[in-house]
Amino acid sequence: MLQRNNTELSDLTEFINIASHEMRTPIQSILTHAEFLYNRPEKYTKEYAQTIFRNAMRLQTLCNNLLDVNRIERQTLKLKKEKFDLTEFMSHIVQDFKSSIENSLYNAKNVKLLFESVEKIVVEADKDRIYQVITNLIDNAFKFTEVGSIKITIERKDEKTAVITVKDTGSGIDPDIMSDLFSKFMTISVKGTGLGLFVSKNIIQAHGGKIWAKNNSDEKGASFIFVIPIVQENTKIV
Amino acid sequence: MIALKKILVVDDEPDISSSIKRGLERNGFQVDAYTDPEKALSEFKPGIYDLLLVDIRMPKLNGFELYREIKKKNDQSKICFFTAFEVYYEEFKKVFPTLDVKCFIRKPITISDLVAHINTELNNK
Repeated sequence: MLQRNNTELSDLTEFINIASHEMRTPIQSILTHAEFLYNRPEKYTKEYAQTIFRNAMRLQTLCNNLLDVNRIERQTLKLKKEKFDLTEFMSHIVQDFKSSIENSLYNAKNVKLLFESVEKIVVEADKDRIYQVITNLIDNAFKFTEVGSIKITIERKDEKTAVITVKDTGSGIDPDIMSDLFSKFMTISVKGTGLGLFVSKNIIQAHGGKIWAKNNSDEKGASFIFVIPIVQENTKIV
Repeated sequence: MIALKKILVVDDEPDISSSIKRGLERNGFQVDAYTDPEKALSEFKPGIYDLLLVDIRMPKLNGFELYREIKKKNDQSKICFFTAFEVYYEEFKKVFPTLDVKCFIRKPITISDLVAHINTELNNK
């Protein structure tokens, strides 16, 4: 018991160290650019404001993930489900992400964001949470892809299940960490807290779905796939 | 005419490396900045920098490894590690038990404070 407590304490200390690093890094950018604006407000205003905005959003994501982990651990993660067309919703998410890339460091990469779906697929899900999962997967894909594409597809696996795939042409996943990929604090780079995939897994499971990852067999890169239940065709969309 | 002090900045966060470069240049330093530590090493020329300002946690080559490789090139530049982590001095002593490096600058820091740290380090004999 004592050994387990010591291990937990050590993990917690390591986590606090990593989390504080992840907070201080965007704060450094916000602080420096705010200092520039304060000292010389007439120069590069838009560029500096964009950098401050981008880094503030990064902090917001980190804070949200920390709060979500707490909700998951306390089993108080609640979904606000509604019926909607997942294909249409996903198309909007991809468009939003494409627009946000213009104000992001991903803009410098030679990576195309593609979306593919042929039919309307109705689900009953929490839109904000599905948005969170998809943007997390796309963001991860961009982190590990320098050239090529990130393709999002939605398919009907059968009458009951929708399959959503985020496939990239990036560096792929180290097989050694594949089994722990969705564990808390597991990170595949020197950056990040390792919370995003853990939170995503719990959101998908709360929807009665499943999420997994694999390295692509037909080309380089990795695919993250999740399935969630489909609402029957004769059910009315609200 | 006094020659500008020349500083090498290596930080894999583009927002940080570019803003530190800009901030230091506005304070009278001449700065080369890199986001890729391997590129910084491959293009490194010994004897031209007065001080190296190096992030520690970077992909491919961390700050300590980069400094170790730079030292192999017989470079005598002063070094300040620039980190958002709490504890790194002990880690550094494990890698370089014989080197007496004491300049660890913790992020976040304002440009004015960073300049003060760098000037102190440059003035240390």
